Amino acid sequence: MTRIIVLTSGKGGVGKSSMSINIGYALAKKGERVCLIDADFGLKNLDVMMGLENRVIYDLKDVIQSKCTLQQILVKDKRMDSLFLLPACKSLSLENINVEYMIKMIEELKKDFDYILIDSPAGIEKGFQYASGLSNEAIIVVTLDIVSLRDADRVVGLLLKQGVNQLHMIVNKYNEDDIHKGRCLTLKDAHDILSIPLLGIVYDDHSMIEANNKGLPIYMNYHSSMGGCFDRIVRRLEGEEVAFQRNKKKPFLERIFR
Amino acid sequence: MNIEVKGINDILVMKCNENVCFDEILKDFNELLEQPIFNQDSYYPRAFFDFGCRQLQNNELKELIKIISEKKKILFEGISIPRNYQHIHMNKEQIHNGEEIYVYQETLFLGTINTGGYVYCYRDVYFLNEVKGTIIAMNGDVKIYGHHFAHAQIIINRKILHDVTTSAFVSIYYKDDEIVYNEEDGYDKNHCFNFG
Repeated sequence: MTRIIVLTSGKGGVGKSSMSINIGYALAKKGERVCLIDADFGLKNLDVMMGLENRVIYDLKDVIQSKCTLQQILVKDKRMDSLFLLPACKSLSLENINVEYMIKMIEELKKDFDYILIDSPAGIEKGFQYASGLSNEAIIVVTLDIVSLRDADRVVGLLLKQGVNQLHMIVNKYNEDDIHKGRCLTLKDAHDILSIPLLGIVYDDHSMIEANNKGLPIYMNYHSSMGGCFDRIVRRLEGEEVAFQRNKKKPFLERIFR
Repeated sequence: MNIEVKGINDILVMKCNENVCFDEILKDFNELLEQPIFNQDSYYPRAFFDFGCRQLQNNELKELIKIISEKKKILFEGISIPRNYQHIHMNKEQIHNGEEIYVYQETLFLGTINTGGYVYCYRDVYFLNEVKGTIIAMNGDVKIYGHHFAHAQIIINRKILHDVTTSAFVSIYYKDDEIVYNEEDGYDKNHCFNFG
């Protein structure tokens, strides 16, 4: 049965799109057929971050206007055969999108995919409501700062109201040094506030920014240990019990001459 | 014998065992009525039935009255009605940021009230878990009980108690135009008998 998961957070800039992409890659690597939906209408990002910008010919607007089929707008990833992107379109406003149509579209996609990951826009406005209304499971991406957790708490309340009961939390930009020095909140604080199970932690790594800029997701960068975080997230998503990955410290000399 | 008979003020009080099935009680009652005391000429003792906590069903009551009217050996004086305990509504949910909840009956909250969560209450409320949000009493009679407030806000009759932080059991209510904040000594005072 196809799992439809929305990745949301409330606050912007916590890494929803990065998580969506890398989880998508990790799932595809496991052999699952994955469709990533960029639900950030008007501000499409996923195609850029996946390095697929030049491959996008049609978008959702064309399907709505019957200029092409749903299959035609799906962009196949250049690295993973079982990963597809359904790009958003910059010119389409939410007023022009019919929820009924979106649900019908998801039903059609369900035939071809094991996972449908929906990258929700920031905020709790219409875009978020569209994205969350299409799914029955959600991953809340948070960072260990109070604003992110407060916003996530608001989102959790809204999701529960909408009947999305299967909720998971991913803590992004996790920095042990900051936690030890008391500069940010802890995992326990996050759990106390949200009371939802922790699906995984993703370490704070500058190479994530670089990866997004280059259109090469960090999961596909084999020199980075970050891929392990996403592998574990995916395994937990599939019900396995996996220990959390420990961040490898850089060698002494590398830390001095960085 | 599941019926114990005691004479109190010219009335026979029949204390029935509340832990056996009702048929047993009826059987014993039938046997009891055959005793010599109930078979004296022109003597009809008045009998009161004490069923303890047993809540009699309609058909059970009919059965009892049927026996009394058929045997014609006692005068029915009445039955005890178990005390109806006030039921407290239980809310197990955590109240998240931005969520608003209206409480129209006495409610026990088991989940946390997160910062940004609002509880509007028309009746007394009890909080078992942490309260970090805002509790608004919709009238001056409402009492708020809790034992873990962390920077919570309490509003009663437009008076505001800011930054309520305590780990002792407290009751908060409105009295003489101000919000009274009382640390309770123990659980005797906190209306626990209402729970359940």
